[in-house]
Amino acid sequence: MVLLSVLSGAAAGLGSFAARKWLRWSSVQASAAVALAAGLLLPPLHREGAYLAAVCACASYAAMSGWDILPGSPGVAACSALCGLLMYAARDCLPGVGGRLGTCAAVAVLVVAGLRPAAAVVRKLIK
Amino acid sequence: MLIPASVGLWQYTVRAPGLNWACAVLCVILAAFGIKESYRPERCPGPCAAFVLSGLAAAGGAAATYILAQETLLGVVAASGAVGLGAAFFLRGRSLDLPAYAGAFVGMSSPAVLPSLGLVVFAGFLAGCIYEAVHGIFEGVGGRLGTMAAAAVLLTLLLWGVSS
Repeated sequence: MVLLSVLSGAAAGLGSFAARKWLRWSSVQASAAVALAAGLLLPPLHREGAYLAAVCACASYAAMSGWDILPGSPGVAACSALCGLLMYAARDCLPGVGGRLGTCAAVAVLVVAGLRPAAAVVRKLIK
Repeated sequence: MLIPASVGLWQYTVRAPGLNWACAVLCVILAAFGIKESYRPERCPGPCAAFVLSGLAAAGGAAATYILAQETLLGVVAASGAVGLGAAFFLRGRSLDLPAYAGAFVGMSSPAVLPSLGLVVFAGFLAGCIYEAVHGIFEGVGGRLGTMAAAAVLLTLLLWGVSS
């Protein structure tokens, strides 16, 4: 289930990123389209479809990030996969509270955005 | 942003102690670096009318999502997507698509959390006001709207709990 969560998150994030980059959709359009597609298609396809749709929506929110925060597809893929992981780990947190998926997405974006400066600090400490 | 993240983190660590603590601490440290990296200090709240318009757009988005999710077979995720697409097509010209989408996240709340449409509309309005109040801060961080929505829902629960 973790793997499925991570994979579906990464696919949804990349889909949203591609819609913004190549179809020139706005961030709201791209994210909403991915959420709508996931919400309609996944529940009938899989036993845990509703949960996977939520993971896809969460990843699509993360992919709404500005180009300066997550500049390329590898960053978006990593962030979206992390969304899948976080959603699985925090599935019992804030149950039923609207905005829970967005909070997970924001944490994932901030963690990925913090990787580079954290690595720079670690490198400086090692030297 | 810190309110819902803190509540979620607290629930995460309380419900499953052990290794989760290490993961949570690592995430907090990395997120702190991320906050330092992506923080935009330019806070530029709009005029009073912008607060009202954003609040109304968010309240409308919240109500529409809540009704679609509870009264149809769409489910919460598809309902928020449908409302988001509608907002992107009809409200983008007036720059109200983002607050309306933030409101749609509020409308994803379970009836067990927000039991009446009135509370959903209030929480949506609050989300729109928060959006306008923190305009410019953490611009470009994905999930920012959802975090505002979660903060609005938690504040509504706090206010409702205090008043009832």
